Amino acid sequence: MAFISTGYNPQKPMEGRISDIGPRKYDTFFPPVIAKNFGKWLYHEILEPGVLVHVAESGDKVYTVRCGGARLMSTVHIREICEIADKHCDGHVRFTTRSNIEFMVTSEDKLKALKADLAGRKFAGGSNKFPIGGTGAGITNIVHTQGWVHCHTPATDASGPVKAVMDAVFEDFQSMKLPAPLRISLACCLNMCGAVHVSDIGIVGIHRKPPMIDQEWVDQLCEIPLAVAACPVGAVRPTKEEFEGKKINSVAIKSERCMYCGNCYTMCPALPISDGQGGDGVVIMVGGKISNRISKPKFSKVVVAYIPNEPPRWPTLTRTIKHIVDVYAKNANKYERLGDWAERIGWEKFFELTDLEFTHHIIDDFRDPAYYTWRQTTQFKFSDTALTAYAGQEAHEAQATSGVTQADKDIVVKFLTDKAGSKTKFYFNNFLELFPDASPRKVKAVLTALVAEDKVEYWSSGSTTMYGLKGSGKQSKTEEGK
Amino acid sequence: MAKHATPLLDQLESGPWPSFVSDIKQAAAVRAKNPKGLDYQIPVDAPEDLLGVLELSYEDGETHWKHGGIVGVFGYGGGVIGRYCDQPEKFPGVAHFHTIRVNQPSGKYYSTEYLRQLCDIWDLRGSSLTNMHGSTGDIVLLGTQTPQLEEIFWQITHEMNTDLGGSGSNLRTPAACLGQSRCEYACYNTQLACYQLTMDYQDELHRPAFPYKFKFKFDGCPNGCVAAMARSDFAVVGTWKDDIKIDQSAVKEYVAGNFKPNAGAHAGRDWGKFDLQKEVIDLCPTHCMKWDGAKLSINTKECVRCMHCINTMPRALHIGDERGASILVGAKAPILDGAQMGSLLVPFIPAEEPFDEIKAVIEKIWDWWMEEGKNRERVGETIKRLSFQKLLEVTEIPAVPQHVLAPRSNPYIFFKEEEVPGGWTRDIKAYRQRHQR
Repeated sequence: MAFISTGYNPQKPMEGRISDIGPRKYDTFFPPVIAKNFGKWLYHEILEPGVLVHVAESGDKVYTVRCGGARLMSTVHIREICEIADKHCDGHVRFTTRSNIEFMVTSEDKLKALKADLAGRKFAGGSNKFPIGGTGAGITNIVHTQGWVHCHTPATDASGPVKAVMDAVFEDFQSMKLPAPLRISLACCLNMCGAVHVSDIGIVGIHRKPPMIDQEWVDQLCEIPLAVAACPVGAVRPTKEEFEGKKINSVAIKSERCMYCGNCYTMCPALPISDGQGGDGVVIMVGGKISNRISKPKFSKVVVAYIPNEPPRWPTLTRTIKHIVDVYAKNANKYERLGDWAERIGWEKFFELTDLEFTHHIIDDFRDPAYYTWRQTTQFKFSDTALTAYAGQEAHEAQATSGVTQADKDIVVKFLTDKAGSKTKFYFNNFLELFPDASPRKVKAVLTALVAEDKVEYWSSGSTTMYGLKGSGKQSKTEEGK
Repeated sequence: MAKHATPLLDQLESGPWPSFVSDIKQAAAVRAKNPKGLDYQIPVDAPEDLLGVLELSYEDGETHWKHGGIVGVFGYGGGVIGRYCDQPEKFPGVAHFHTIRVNQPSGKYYSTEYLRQLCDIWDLRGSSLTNMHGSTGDIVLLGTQTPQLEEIFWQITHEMNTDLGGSGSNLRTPAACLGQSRCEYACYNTQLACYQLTMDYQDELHRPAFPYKFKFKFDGCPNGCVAAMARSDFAVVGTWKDDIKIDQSAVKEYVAGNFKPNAGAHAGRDWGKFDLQKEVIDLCPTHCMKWDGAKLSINTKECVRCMHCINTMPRALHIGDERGASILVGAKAPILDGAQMGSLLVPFIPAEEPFDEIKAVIEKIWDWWMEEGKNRERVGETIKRLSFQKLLEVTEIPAVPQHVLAPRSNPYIFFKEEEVPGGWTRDIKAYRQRHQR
């Protein structure tokens, strides 16, 4: 290979340099019918799945054929797109936000020829190069991220699961028989480069093990303050370690605080997080939507907390998604997005109808917003699961509260007397430490006995009650005319 | 004969959906054959080695990519993302495999001439593999080596009149829906707004100085096809103020079954005869519509412009004429404190060239966030930390009921000292004259 220079001179990087010119202006790429009728479109209609007609005030029509595409696309494939666009569309083509390819023509004859041409194009392995669909009340292409193809923190692949899921729901890509549009997205880690958090069905890769610390390299590869600052939950702190007899700068990780986001690994390559040995996998979230139509936009909710990675075709994931889509299609009303349906019938009903297992992982426990997802009402629907929360378990065993001895009382009085110099009032739970093996109700019996003997008295602010030795404390001297 | 056996990936070649594996294989074959006689500037077998390393990931369930943070083009802090393989001896063709983000045209219309230019550059100087497009909207060129970066930048600027996109703590490449180019719902020219602001803020896009990433997205209507209010820090969503335009004769055509409801979107299933009352009037979120059997009426003052009636009867109902946009601020994915949807900041703002009104809001937010935002804190999180009131204060926008779904349910109100007569300095002696201890 001989290096081919464009004329760039590394010694003089500013010589002949062009910068800050931005993208090409969009309208230089418009097909003539788009340029002519810009802002003058009257209405549109989906003629069949994947084929739209837009009608302008001028009477002009543009027919669009929408084709699915893998967003990971080679120049060979792009050149084939160009060949089709040259042949049928006067050299114009567009892509959608969801990585679909749109070919536009201006007559029904051209439309027919275009469709026939597209239908015959297959990859060597047998898959369609340009499947037509992705419109209306169906499933369109999956927005996704890089995965194992090109990212350093993924917990799953992206292109592979997307291919497997789209194969499984392909019928709904090429038809419009769902109650409403259904959007699927995939993000290969918690950082979510795609808008998975507001999808009808979101697939999210998750790690489940805190990062490992490669002590041999951590001091050489990492700027430790950056790794510490990268942790969103404060689980990483700087520390000194001994490695092979040498003192090194390192980090310590509080495992129970880690949410496995991999941000520390981004800053510090000596903290690898990926784990193919039972750690990494995917979560399914459902019920999000972006559109403001009828109901407000909403976030997707976790309904399956973990599915293992099963390359190459992720059978459990695809089966579960297909099942959710089928149950939704069968039960929802016309126009109801998946989340609208789940909210109307109630999430308990969603779990009953889909038969997905509800586990403790699905209850939110992350910071304040968690509370707003719990149920603060007696309104709920019965299903089999409702009864398992109280299924005739044995009544609470009566715990002995009797048998307060003089020794027990002496412990409390000694404690209060010893502390009297600095502190005179104590919360109930301060006394629990005096009786590490006893139940709280037993400790209460000891205190109650002392109150009855007039040795201990209550102090109350009106809202909070504490215990103290009778007559102790500064305030008691100013009360009751003492 | 393929360089690496890929029995797992081969299983992704069957099935109806386009197979990325088949596509990478065909690219590998063309490069090996080299019909144009190119002097490939990075290893010819990069696509084969990519399949090889991906197969390895399919075997062990773990990625084999490392992050690199220094590569880029001179003077720019974004647009290139360094990437290195952690098995370089096994897969030398992708040992260095950096990503280049190229700023896409608004709405993603292309000429084949432009796409071929891009392919020519990428076949010569890169892996021949791309993403069309990345989640944010860029054309993503997947895999090249450091010495090629300046050459590629030179070619796309000099020969294609195109620039790089954003990455890192900067303005990320803005994106728009296709807007008025082919949609009757677009309330403003989303493509122009996107283009204009991208041009005006080139410095912010290429030279990172923000606490973290900042995204603009432009949706033409509340249907939200680019998901602006779900995933952009600054979402401009088209809307209108006046009456929805009603063509009464077209309404009757829908009722009579002569026009396909929902523009045909539900045509795949027999949902029964179109029922205007049940499917439109009763589903209107504010119940502001009436149908008396001959005339459809809408009480505009009650309408929240959800788009349902227009989506359902696009030939009969049209967006109003007094058009502009709503601005919503602070959307982001869940890392860290949970996902955030954009919060409504400006209910209605003109959205006409040169978009000065919108830019004024953006620049006030930047001035505040660049000073007050913590590192790696999205503006939505800064707002949560310092309050929506603070956002109103810095953008000089008065509080209005449209800003909230409901008033606060706690009385823990932070009054400013100047809002309280006499301020916070009080005289304890005077107090004691009124109250004994």
